[in-house]
Amino acid sequence: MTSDRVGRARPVDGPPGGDRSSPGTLRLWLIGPPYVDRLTITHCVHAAGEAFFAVSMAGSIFFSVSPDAARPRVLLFLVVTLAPFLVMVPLVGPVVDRIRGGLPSTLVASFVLRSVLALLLAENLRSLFLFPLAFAMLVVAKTYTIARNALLPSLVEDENDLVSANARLSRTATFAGGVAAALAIAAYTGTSAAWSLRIGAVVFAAGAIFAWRVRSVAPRLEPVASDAFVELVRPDVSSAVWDMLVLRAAVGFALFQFGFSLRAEGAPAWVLGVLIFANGFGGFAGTVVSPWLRRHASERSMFTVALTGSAVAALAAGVALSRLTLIVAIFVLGMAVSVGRRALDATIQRQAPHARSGQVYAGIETRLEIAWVSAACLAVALRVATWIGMLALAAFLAVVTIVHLRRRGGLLTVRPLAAVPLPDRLLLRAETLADHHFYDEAIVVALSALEEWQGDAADPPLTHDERLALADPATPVAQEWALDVIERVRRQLDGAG
Amino acid sequence: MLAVVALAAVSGCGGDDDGAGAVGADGYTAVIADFLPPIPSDGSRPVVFVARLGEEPFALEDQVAMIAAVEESYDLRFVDDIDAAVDNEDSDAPPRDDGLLLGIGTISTAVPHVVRVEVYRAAGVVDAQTVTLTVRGDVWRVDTSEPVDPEVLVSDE
Repeated sequence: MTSDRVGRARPVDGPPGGDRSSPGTLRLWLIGPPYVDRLTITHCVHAAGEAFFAVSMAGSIFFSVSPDAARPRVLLFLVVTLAPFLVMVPLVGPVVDRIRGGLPSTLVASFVLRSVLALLLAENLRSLFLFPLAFAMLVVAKTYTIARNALLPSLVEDENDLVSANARLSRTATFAGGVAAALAIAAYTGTSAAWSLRIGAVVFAAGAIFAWRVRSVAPRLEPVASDAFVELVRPDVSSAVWDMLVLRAAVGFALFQFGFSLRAEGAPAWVLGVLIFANGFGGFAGTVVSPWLRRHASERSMFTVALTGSAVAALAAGVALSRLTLIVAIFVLGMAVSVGRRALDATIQRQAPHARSGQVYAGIETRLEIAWVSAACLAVALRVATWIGMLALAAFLAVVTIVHLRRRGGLLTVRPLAAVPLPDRLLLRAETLADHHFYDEAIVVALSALEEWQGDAADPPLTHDERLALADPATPVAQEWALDVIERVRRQLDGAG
Repeated sequence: MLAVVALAAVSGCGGDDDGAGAVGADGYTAVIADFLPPIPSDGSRPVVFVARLGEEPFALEDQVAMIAAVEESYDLRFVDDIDAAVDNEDSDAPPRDDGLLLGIGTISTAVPHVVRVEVYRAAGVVDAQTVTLTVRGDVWRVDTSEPVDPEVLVSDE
């Protein structure tokens, strides 16, 4: 395997190691070691800008028009929001990845754009232009998230620090966002929503300056080697990405479902504000809980806890709906997403080190954002009461949790069977791989079971054409074929036994 | 991608449906203006909820135009469901935020332009009127109002 990761040649204007070699513990806990600290500060400024934007939305026309009238418009722009992400991975991703400073430049551009959009929004809070401008903000915010998460691995000094660096980023940004939210509320009540947005525009403009400082320390990223993509299909990694997709989708669904249903039921804007705060605070709590969980459980178990916890909380809130249970459920969901995020980072850190390059990470991040937006579209399209939405969310999470447990059980069943002969265990592993749709790998593992049993005398039960097909990466391997090969190997093993 | 564009187009069409019929925001603004409460001396903006009387919701564009027309003095809020505007935890079930709830029907396109309006102040405190409007050029004006029995905003109790 070749590493695609570039040795991070430090830029000329990067901070010298000596002057920051012993940063204070609190400073380290809050903003991290050199290089990462610049991204942490940038992200804090972003969180502050987000807070001003979110608070000012309470004074927008969205809270004056009827939800049903706004629904088609919101759905339209959500769908439009999807488009940039659909083209981002195949087209923009590789270009951004290869240009020196491509990802940090994306950060700078996102701040500049958001600053301009915030100024435009301040003039259009009470007009129909609110919708395209707000969703343009959303697209840029998602782009920022993708670029930030893709950039972080290249800034982390020790490759094993990705999880803690990501946790620190979330934790410190939550602090900054909380303080900024208080200031934004003061600005909103003391002046107006428009002025709160204008202050937000200034914050975003400041963020562009901080993001520029990140640009000066970001290394160039090499083209992605095939190793990275191979690592992504490892069962643990693909399962982690899948579980995280589910959690991100749950958040997207919850935000828009309850945004609309609570409005339709006459809930004031502050209730939505409290829900957003609960979600953010849950994210913060997740960063505190995750290290403890990681010490006592595997990444898979972290996902199990996150999925089960959010499903139970959603079910409880759906059955006994009140503002309190709703807030608790959203808090738990925020915490679950945070725990899942740490588990995903840890899985990639441990099992897919080559997949940490910007392009591959951006690909994962983009899929997560697409899941978020798609679920949001579904929530807007459905016109159901809050309790039904919560039960629908609980049902979705419950089904996914069952699939997760079943998948996990399937992968685990091979481990405690050390006493079983290796060929049988390999065959079981082949069946598990086939269960998880890794058909070509299933065939290879099944054949290796036969080879292990018969040694050089092994006679693989494959025709000439089948061997050619298996060797050709362009030929898809069908489920029936994989199961047939496994069955043929089993018969040979049984016959030999 | 095609599916995305198609869905966007469908959604866009949905958003532009004119739920108010042929009479636009100007006509309905004239009706609302006739039922607005007095402006308080403390400079606060009274909250006025607007609900449709058993019809499709007002088009988004019309809602925004109506809100803009009275925004300086009133906080106009459109609701899909009457319950969204009523504080059901209060025994009198008044409109939320010390507001007023107006239920407005559809202005007939034929002359005379008539529309039903119900004004809800609390459970059992509902006035209803049939309002006749005239239009000169683009300017709509309430001509007459005739009391009728409330039908839609009356409580079940």
